[in-house]
Amino acid sequence: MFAIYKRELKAYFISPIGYLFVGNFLAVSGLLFSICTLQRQESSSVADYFQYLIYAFAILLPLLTMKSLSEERRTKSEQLLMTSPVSVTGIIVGKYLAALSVFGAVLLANSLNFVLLEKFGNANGTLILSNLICLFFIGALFLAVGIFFSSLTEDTLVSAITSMDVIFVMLAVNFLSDISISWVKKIVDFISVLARYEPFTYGILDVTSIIYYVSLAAVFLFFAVRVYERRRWA
Amino acid sequence: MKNEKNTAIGTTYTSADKQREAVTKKLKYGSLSWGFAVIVVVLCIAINLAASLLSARLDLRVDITDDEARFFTISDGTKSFFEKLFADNPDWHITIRFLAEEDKVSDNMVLEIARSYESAFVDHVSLEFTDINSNRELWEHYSNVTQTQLTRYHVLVEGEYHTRAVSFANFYLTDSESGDTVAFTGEKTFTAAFVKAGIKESPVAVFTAGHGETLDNGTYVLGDYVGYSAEQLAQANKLVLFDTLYDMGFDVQVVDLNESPLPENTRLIIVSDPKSDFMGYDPENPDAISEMQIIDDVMDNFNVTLIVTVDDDTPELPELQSYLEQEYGLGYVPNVSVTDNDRSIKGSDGLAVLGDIPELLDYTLGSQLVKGFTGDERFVFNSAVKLTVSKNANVYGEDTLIATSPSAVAGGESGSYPLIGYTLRGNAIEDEDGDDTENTEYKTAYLISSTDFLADRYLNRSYGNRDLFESILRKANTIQEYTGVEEVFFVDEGLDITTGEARGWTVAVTLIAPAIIFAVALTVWAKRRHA
Repeated sequence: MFAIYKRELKAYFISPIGYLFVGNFLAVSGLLFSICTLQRQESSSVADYFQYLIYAFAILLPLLTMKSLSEERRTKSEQLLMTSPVSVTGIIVGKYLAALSVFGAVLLANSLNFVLLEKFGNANGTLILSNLICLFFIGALFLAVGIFFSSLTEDTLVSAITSMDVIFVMLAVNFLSDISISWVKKIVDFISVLARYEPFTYGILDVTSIIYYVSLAAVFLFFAVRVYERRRWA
Repeated sequence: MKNEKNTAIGTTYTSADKQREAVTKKLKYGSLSWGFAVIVVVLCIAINLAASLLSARLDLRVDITDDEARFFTISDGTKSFFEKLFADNPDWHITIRFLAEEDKVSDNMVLEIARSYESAFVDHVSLEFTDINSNRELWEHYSNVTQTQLTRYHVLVEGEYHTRAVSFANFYLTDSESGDTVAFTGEKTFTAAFVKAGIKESPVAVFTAGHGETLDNGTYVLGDYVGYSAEQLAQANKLVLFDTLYDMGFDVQVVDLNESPLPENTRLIIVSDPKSDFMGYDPENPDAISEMQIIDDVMDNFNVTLIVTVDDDTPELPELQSYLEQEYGLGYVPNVSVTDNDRSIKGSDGLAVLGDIPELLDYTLGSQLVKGFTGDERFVFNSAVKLTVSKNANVYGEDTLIATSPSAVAGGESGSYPLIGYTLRGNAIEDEDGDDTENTEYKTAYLISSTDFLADRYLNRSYGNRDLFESILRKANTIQEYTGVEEVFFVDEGLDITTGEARGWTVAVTLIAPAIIFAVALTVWAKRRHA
């Protein structure tokens, strides 16, 4: 699995995809950061910035995963992988961890922007930290979604767009919480990615939310493994 | 057959192995594959449901707000206070009822601190959510119970004996000058509401009688109302002062200390406009009732407030004066009027002096009493007498709550004179082992230089007298000091950046780093293309 992880991590930076992702991520998040804080010239509160960044994830993160498995399938290199002495789970998890590492590193690098808040105001470090922790787990979930849809098709564009659609649906579910039917509301609150994010916005690390993100990511990875298992023996 | 072995590829297989492999294959990509997937999804849902259920019993949330001041963590002081209370009263139960469904509660900070109480005191505190907008009957019921026009911006604290409605606004401290919200008082507000809701009997405000005490400029002679029940007294007197006391949660009684003791749940003693002295301790007649000793004994229970109003007509009262001076460092100079021709109500010949809040107030009490004031309020003190507020080794803190302007005159000398002096005496609460805890209980004394300060004509909303009196009563009817809970101040998130700087940094964070990344990408691409 570690070999797959290393290979995948290297692949991100010998092809344009890794750079495109990092560059676009920094540009989009930098712009959102400026609009939500510097341009307003009022407050160093980063609540809005993190909210918008989650929506930006819906577009940015599928860029990172769209090629993970579909490209292997398109170039037929997946047959090499399938016959390699690595389990399918190892392949999927290795690729997922590579994407997660790139995402985590960019999220960390992007945090340098907060130095500006300290320079011109008073950044609330603990709130920034709790938001970042939650965003990492939300990103981890979205990457798992991307990996799953990448396993379904050999067309990278289809993989990316399907992932974006599903992630948008996952985010839009939160808007259904206005429905007055109580059992629907309960279900919506239970599955809503954004509702689970809320405690982190005011400095609470909610372990149940983290369990939710991690378990849902695990389910999507499990589905990706299932898809590959079926294909391996089909 | 059971022990049949296959060594074709160097591995030994038994029939059991074959069976196991067949099941594994079925699970992985065969007929059981879908079932396996469903099981995993169900397992995921089960794990999350279990976590949600567990979080209701165990606190599965970590408060990482600032170490010094955590917004949602119940302090050790409050915990030990309630643990002791619950140990003494095992049946004590508090319901925190939000008036909206859980996801519609508009103030998440209040909801979070409520959850913290529920987690900290699982057997004694529970959370409920009731949408009052969709249930008119419930709205009417709770509005009647709390005597409050309830909205979804209230939370109810339901104890065994009382239900308290607390507005979300009361969970925050606002800067009186800027109007900005500067601190969160969640722990403080809930703690006070819990105690109020759980206490069986209302606190009693006692007016002393038997020394010529009167109210409202001599209109009401308190001695005429001794023995009246709270209801009888409410019917007999339509004074704003009484209404204010009732509104602030007090039952009112008039007690002649020579005839009956002070009620057990006395929280406020008011000596209003005494004309003759109290009985002190008589060494020659030690069995005789000492009124001062009765008052002192009750004050020593702590969480009791003493208010004494005097004016320039109050004679020398050696026992009362001696008690106030020795115990609280407060005194008055009989028959020495305070007048102020420059700052008084027009037409009063300088007698109805207007007082101000001094700039420097002792933080422990004074600043909390006047925190909602703008400084523009007019506090009226008619026929004021000169007060003295002196340092006293016995007391925890003393200060002048309201003072005259420097143009005031008393005894022929001009200067700023105290119009309300106050003293706070603290006592560390001991734990079961007799060691001091961080909780402190207090007794407070106020000496007011004008008996008219609490008269109807000045307790209307044109003057600041009523707001200040309400603030004093709020303090008297609260255990906030009891637990030593402080408000938690927000980080000042102001941003001081010019438009030019904002534009410059926007370009920097949006373009420079991505440009470098794209440049590296181009280089890598070019190198690989021409490799």
